[in-house]
Amino acid sequence: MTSPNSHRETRYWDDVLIGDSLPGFSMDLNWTTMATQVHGSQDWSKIHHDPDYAKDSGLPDIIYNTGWTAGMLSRAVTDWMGIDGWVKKFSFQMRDMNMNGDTVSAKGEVIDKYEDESGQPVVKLDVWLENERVGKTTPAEYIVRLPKRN
Amino acid sequence: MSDCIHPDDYDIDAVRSEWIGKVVSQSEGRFPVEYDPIRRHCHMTGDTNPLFLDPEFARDVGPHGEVVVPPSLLPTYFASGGPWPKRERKIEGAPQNKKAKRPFFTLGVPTPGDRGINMGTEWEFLEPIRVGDRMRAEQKVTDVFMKPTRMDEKSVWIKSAMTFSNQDGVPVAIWHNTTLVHRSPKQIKADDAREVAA
Repeated sequence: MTSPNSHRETRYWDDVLIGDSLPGFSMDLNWTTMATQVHGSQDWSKIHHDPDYAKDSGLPDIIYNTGWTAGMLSRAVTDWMGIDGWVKKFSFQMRDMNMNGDTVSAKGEVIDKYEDESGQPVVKLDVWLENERVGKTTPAEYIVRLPKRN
Repeated sequence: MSDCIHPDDYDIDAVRSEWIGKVVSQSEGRFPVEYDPIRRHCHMTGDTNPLFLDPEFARDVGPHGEVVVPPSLLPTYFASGGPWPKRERKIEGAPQNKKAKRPFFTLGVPTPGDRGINMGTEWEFLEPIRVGDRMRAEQKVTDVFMKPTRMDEKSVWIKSAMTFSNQDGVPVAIWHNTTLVHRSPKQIKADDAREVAA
């Protein structure tokens, strides 16, 4: 789970092509990552850490929380966009669950590139989480501002 | 079950008329925006980005002059009292939620169920949120409706918007959220049993 050196570089809007892929990353979910998702999000809802409560709620097991989900999606974007990028907007739908035992991958692709209504150079990204058990669990869309050369 | 309403007694039109547009919470951060909650957030996803973790890099090289909050749900943490201990101090004039038994994710809105799942979320980031900032938030209910799900045919969906501002009163982020509130299988059985008995 290392991050690329692009953290320290600038990605320019001019150099981005529609269809470019984001490198993304993967994470194996287990009891340690369960603990870090609660620790990192401070979301103490029991469906995220208490298997008995989760099952009593009609879920098959504990599910990973919204803070973790947003963090995973956004890391795929901030890893890619470089030091001068700015996430203007993102949205996502939690359509299926990520659970212990899954290997979750965060992936993305550039689907549009334009100057927005205020003249800012932006790119639109499809980003998603997927696991081997059910495929895509969490589709997301990001609008990211990038600097122009000159 | 906490303060749930049997589906036969539930009036969605009355709920919509009372709750849509209502300010349900105003809050301010217990502490300023701090380094360590950002570090914990990065630990959760394995993120090593120096803009979020390295004060020296953020000040000397980064574009914002200080470590910033990643695009995430962290503004909600920094604009609240946090999960523990319960905060007694209230903001003057803030609405007081009289439905104290309602689970937090219902925002106080009456529902047949008391189990919740977050279904979708949208964030707009307007300005950087830097370490040292003092955050406030105000949340409004923007929609309530019934739509069946595979877990519960009497599921209620609640949409809300929360606006975050910094110490200068400048809006820095807006969070739009959709929560599904459903009944547990046990409660559905109990509700069905009342219908049969009636």
